[in-house]
Amino acid sequence: MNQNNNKADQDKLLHEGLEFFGAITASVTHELNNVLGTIDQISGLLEDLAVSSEHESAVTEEQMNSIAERINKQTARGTKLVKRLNTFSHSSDTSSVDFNIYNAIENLTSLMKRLVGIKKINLELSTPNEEITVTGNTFFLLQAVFLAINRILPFVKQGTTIEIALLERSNSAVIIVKAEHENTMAELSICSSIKKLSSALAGSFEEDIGDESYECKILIPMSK
Amino acid sequence: MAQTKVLIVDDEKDFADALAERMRSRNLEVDIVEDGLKAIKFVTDKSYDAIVLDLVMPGMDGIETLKQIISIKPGLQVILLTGRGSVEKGVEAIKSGAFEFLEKPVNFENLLDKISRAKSKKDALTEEHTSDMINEILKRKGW
Repeated sequence: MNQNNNKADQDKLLHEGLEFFGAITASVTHELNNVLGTIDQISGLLEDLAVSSEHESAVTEEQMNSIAERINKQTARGTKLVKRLNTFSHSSDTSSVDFNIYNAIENLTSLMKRLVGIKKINLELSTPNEEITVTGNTFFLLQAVFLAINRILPFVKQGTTIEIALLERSNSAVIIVKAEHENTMAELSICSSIKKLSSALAGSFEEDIGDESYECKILIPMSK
Repeated sequence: MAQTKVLIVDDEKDFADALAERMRSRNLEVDIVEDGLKAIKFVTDKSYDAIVLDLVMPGMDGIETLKQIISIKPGLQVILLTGRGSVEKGVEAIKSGAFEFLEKPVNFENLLDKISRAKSKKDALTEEHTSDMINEILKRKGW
């Protein structure tokens, strides 16, 4: 019976991991589509100018520079997105590695900005006082943070900020996710998935659901 | 001939700006807003021939914006732009009263054609409505 439960739990985590990966890639590729669509229209503008220059005045250097600048802006935006997605994709390369948790979570929150921004909610990650390195599965940690953010997201008012803080406490890295909510979280049961992911990282998970505020802590032992 | 008036509703400013610029070079009159709430205000205050509306926007989404626009200006035609993976939403949009939905990246000439057809449909509906009103008045007067 225990074996069946363990398998069911593992299957659930695997499925949630795929959902997490899918949510991030869907959001980022949607943004990339916007970038390409914008480049498409700007280059169309160039075509229009070329056609009109046959009958009217020639295209000016100023117009050409303006168009080039606009295209460069979009390619820079697209390049940044691809780099971040690539970094995220590589988070599942190895099951255990030393990594800087600020860098990993900063990349995740940057990729999640659009997902969260659609609901007119802000995501703010504060910089820790010093470098915090842990040893473990980067993907699991990111999945745990993603689940924590998604947990509070439905209950947060538009215009609110979900804050993420990182600090060191007694040789553990502590990731705190907190936000104010609209007094509707009371009935939530403990999130078993975040608990399991924290355990897989040899850590633990704590949660405090207040009347109007939510705070959860993911504690991971720091690298020796 | 009166200029075709279009409202672009899209939170992607650079995309909307480029699209508007191209439309203006084709002699269309274009306004841009970045969200559904502003779109509703503009539609209430000004007369447009067609709306080009992004499906996914922060706050009020495209479907909700579409429904509100139609309730304020029933004859006004709305063309929805959808990203990949939201074609089902596009179908939902048609069922909710959208004139057409196009996938991004959008073919500009195709979009212009849709806008022209949307304007024709709006004009036809306005004429029909005016004709119905006149007939109603004539009937009441017994003429």
